[in-house]
Amino acid sequence: MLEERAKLTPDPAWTAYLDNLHITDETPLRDAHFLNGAPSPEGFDGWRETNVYGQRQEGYTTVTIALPLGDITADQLRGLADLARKYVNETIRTTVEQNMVLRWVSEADLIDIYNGLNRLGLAQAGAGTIVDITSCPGTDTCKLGIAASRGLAGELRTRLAEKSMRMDEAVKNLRIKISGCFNSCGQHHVADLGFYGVSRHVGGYTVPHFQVVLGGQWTENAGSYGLAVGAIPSLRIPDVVDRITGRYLADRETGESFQRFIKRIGKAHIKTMIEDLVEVPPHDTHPEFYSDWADPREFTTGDMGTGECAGEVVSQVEFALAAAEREAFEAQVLLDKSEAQTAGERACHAMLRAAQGLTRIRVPDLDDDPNRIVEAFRTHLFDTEDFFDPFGGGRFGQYLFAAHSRDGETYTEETAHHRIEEAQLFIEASYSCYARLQSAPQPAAG
Amino acid sequence: MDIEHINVKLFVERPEQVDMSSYLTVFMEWIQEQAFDELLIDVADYRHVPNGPGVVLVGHEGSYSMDQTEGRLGLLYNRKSPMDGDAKSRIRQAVHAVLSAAERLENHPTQLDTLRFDLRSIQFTMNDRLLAPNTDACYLAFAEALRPSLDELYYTYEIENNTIDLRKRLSVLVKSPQPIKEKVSR
Repeated sequence: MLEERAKLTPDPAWTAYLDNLHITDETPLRDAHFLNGAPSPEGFDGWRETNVYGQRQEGYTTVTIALPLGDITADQLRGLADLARKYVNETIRTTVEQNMVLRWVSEADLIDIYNGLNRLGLAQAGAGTIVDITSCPGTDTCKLGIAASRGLAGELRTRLAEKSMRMDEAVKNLRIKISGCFNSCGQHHVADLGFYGVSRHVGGYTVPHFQVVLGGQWTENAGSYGLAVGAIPSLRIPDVVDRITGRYLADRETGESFQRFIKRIGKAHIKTMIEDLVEVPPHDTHPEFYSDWADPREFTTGDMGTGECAGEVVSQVEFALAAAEREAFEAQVLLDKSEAQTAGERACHAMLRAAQGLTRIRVPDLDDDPNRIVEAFRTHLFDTEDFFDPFGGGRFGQYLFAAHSRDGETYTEETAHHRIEEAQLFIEASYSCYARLQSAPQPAAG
Repeated sequence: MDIEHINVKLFVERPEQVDMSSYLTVFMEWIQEQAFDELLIDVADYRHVPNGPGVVLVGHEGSYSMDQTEGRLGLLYNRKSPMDGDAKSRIRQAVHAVLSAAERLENHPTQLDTLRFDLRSIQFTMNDRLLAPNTDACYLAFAEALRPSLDELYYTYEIENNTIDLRKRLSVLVKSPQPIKEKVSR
């Protein structure tokens, strides 16, 4: 981040707001009073448990309005504005979890506010729980979207809401966050269970997948980022959630957080738990795997391979990319064992292997020499801009060049973590490049 | 009053029988078939929003949706781009759009046994509070502009009183003892 910031032209606006921080201060509109056991309407207690928390100022609370997938209608907004005028000095805040909050709510007003929200269809309980899923727009509206993050979020929300009443507290309090691509707008990297959209070629078709990201921390101001443990077909992501949360529930130690649990049992073990979900059955018998959530269309049909010659190259590239992915995962496992040096080196090698596999489309006899791999990749895929992400340009290719130029570097846990993230992004960019090359017009088979 | 951004909604007779997820598929089919003389672009799923937009077929000129606003399920045509002609022809175009879509939906193989629209009622909304503020004057002007089209649709009808509220869109609910005339609805 510091490197990226150094490239930017300084702008006074970066710090100007520091002189005016008090502009966001709030004061209460109404005096603090307590509920004192006032009779409450149906649903109030459950809503209060998850959507209300007490402020340090006695008698005042903060109310979270849980917005499903961050959506709210114009009519609901006007109604909410009325409540804000009446109870909290006309101030509403938005949250990074795609909800809204009212602060400085006198506890005695909670029932009236609940009734008001209920009339607006905004009194859904479950704020900050596993059903309160954060999602970016994904393929619904975003040009960068690879998979339907909102579709998946909606599906998970529906399934989890059905179970939430009988769900164990430990699972109920987990956070799920979903992005439609690696750009992280859905904050997948700082979730207990994070997912980001990718795609894979299977039998000439493109199949929507999500990378499963574990180890992220949303507490302590997003204390650490998670890393991807493997790509799973979109259709099977609900099974992934069931398995991992079920295992956490069954095997966690007293008071053990989800992050600690994942670290204790190890990502390698988690990977074996979901390994069978990776397989994509044939299109003929299971066409549902080839569509995305809330989008019944086939994911893409234009990506089907053409010609036998291309088919042969396809299998080699896919093999190499899958091997690179495995290596990047091994690097993660090594990092979990605090073997930072080997982890960083393994991540770099994963990038090299992906570059080699992809470049062999253009240079079939490319050997294993790292210098020749990097140069061939640069000449045949990077300088031609074939590797460029349509929106991100050449930044992922730069990860390979930078890693190669630092050959022999000494890794700390932090730099190894960076290298693994870069390797995962480089490999995903390789998959995307490969898909683009496949969908481009092929020369006639010779 | 300039008639633009008009919305027309037909209500569903037995909403409890409707499977909202089926419209994701139907609307996607309409895009692939280019079912109307309008550019149909994408489908947006808002089923999770209480009393919200439901399932929306987003188009360039206008959007179609199985809409759940105010808890009443119906097929909504939301005209977005400007239209040529006078008020009558614009209203007629929007009515034609919603009726065509309703007929197409009712006859879709997945809807044959479940979906029927109540043609004895139709709702018109001006989806533009700047152009058509919800005032008495605008309400009267809007109702007057609707009459020629309503005369074509119904033998007899009543325009329900509007609730004047500047924060709400100008909306007119029309009810008739008989359904829309056969020759118009088909």
